[in-house]
Amino acid sequence: MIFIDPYWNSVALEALVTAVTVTGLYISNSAGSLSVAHAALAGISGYIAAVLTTNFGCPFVVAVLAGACGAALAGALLSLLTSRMNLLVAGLATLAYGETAEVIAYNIDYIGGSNSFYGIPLHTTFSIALFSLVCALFVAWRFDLSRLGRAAVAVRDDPVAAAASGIRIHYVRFASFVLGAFVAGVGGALRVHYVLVVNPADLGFTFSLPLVIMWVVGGSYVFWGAALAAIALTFIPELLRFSTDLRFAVYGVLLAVIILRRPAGLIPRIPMGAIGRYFRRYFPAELKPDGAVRRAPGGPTSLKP
Amino acid sequence: MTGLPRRIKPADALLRVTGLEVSYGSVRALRGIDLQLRRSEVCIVLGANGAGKSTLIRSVMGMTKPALGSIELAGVGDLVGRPPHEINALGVAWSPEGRLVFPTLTVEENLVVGAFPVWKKSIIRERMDRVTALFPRLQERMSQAAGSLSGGEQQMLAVGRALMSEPTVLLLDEPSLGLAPLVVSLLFDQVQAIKSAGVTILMAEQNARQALRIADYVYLLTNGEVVAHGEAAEMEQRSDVQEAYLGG
Amino acid sequence: MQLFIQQVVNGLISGSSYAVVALGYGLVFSVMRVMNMAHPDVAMLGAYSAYLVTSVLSVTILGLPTSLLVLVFLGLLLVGGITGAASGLILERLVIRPSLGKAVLVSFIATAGVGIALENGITAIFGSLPVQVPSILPTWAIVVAGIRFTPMELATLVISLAMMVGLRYYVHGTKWGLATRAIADRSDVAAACGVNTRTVSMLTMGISSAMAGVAGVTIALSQTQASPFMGLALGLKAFVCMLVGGNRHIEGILAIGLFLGVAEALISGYLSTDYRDAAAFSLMLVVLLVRPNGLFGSYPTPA
Repeated sequence: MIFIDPYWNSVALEALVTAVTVTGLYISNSAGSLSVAHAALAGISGYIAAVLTTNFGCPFVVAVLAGACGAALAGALLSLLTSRMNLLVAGLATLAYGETAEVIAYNIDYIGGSNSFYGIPLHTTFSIALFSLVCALFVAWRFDLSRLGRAAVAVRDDPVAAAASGIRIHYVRFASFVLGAFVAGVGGALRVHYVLVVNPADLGFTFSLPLVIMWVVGGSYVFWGAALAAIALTFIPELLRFSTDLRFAVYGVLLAVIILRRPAGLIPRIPMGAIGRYFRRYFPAELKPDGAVRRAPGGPTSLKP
Repeated sequence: MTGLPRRIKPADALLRVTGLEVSYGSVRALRGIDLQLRRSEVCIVLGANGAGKSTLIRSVMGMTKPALGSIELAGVGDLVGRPPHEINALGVAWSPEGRLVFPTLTVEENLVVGAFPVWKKSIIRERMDRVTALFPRLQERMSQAAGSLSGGEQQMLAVGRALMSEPTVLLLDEPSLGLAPLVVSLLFDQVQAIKSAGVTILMAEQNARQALRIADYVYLLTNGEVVAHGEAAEMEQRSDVQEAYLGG
Repeated sequence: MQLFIQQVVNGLISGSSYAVVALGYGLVFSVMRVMNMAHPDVAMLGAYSAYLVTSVLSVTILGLPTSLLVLVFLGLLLVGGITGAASGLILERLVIRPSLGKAVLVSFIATAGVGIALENGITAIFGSLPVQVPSILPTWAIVVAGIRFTPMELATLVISLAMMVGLRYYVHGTKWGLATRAIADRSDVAAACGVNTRTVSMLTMGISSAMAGVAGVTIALSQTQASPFMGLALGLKAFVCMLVGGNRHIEGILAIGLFLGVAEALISGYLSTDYRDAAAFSLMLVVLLVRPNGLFGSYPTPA
């Protein structure tokens, strides 16, 4: 436990778990897709894991992995459905997918329907959440350096050129998306095991949007950016606690200001100073040999300012 | 910049580009361009793909902001920094590379937009008649959607649309692109007619053979720099021009 | 049969509101390449303006004869429209103009942030519970050939259709409308033809936001209440209409909006209300699978 005050502990826990999910979103979006359905994917995993631990007494780790697999399957389906679409439209189709998942969840009585599924045992502790985040970040880091990860960036920056160099665009998008869905699923399963309730509403756009926002604010091309933004954006509303309603109003304004001033995210593209040198040494993939940064051409899902 | 700048009597000088530098990110598209336009002439900017011709044209139109340099229009001053619609009001019109007609608008609507600042219907009608006199094919297609026109017709429409604003300077960006030689020849005949009506034309082209036929003055652009310029007749005789553009 | 026609009529009425809001999204997107997620919240502001006016005039309204009530009704529409237009113009200046030319995601998130701020700001001022709005128009039901509807429902339909007809006339029959279409086709070339893109942007935002404001008033009066988050459900469905109908084709968006309204009404009438919301999203998925560019319109190539 890091904070004395249990309230802040729960905020920290929430932050860590959200960071795991958003890291999954980062991986999924690496190839240029834009998913506004990750809360649904995480939620599906949450439901699966919750049912396994609550109704079948499954060991926690097994349940989390099973949930994550469920999320991966759901993500695979979504990726296949949107493979033919223009990226902007595909992004919006993910919205539909998430909302449909929510409605379906409302109507399945076995998992409680609109009455929510509750009685979930508390398994997620601070250490488990932290450990999971570290794992998620590790996966993201290795992904970025792998052939798949580099191919994904190529596909995102310039699909035509990537196809011309022999990269199988559909496969790269699909694989990245599914991997990210799996990681997001882990986050979702963790989350239900400390919130102890799953609602169909958790699958909806209202919860997917904040994830996307965190991904954007964190800068969508550094593997730890999304996680950092998740932690920051979870703490900020709590810090602005002067009035419940007004703090979200301030949060909204803050969000607008941030994205307008720094469309590419809070983390500058070419980090300066000591961090910059470290960055360049260990993550040369982000920079071209001549020092110029690989810039994505303008488009609906690229964030060139 | 090779050699001496062009000399024009101040009374005849219409457009003067000085030291123009344009960059796209880290790529320098134009380096230190000096160019002068004489009234009522056809001035061609010749160059291969990527030489910077379109960038130059776009800079004059205000679509691209130069890092350095000035673009002075006689009687007006520096055009750099002004928004495109203001530059249009000052007498510069543009026929873009690739035609870029408004595809969902009809031919007639395209022309009306060309004279957008004008509200008086009679004036618009007058100008439209002059354009259709120049390009009779457009008259037949008046209520057709511009996107359904052939390449040649779209080019005529793009030029006609630019003429609707009664410009002093007409910017033509690669009008021959993708058109059959016969169509290009007819189009260039009309360009000469436009010149006779007193409009000054700055044309970017790859198709040297046809362009040199109607040109008065030529600038040669390579890799963003002016490597040579001169009267059309002399430029045509130069061996490098012969080799690079006229096939030996 | 009776039930069927009744549901169709109900559906047409709610669908017309979807279409109005959807047009706002589509118009702004096609002209400015900006996704204004605060659009439904502008409608919410319109609804609250109606609430404010009626609560100030509350005592006097009760005793008025019908003819004067109609005048009050029209007045509320006007106030809603003005509120909407003003909000839209402020939004344009502060949030949308800085996001021009940038990726769509920027405007999407910035306006979403503003939407969140508006919703919570209104909650802070008026509370999160719905506020009561008197119905103004008489509430007795008109029955024609066995179909029931109230004057308010009829008015909603008429007003929505009138706004859409007005919009169509503006876009296709006026010079500024022509400029709007030219900019939606190719904004840089339009600017080079002398079109002041800033003026057109302001006009477009002003008009679409005014329409949203009026829609907000009609919804508030129909449901006799307004709440800070009323825009959410409406906004999502209108969004779907815009996507499916293609973002530029007015008749297309109208048709989709009506179709969605009718589909929802039939589903909740014959199956159950639980599945009603799924209708919109399933429809969207299916259409986008078959026609990735929407049914009528096309998505512009990335800027």
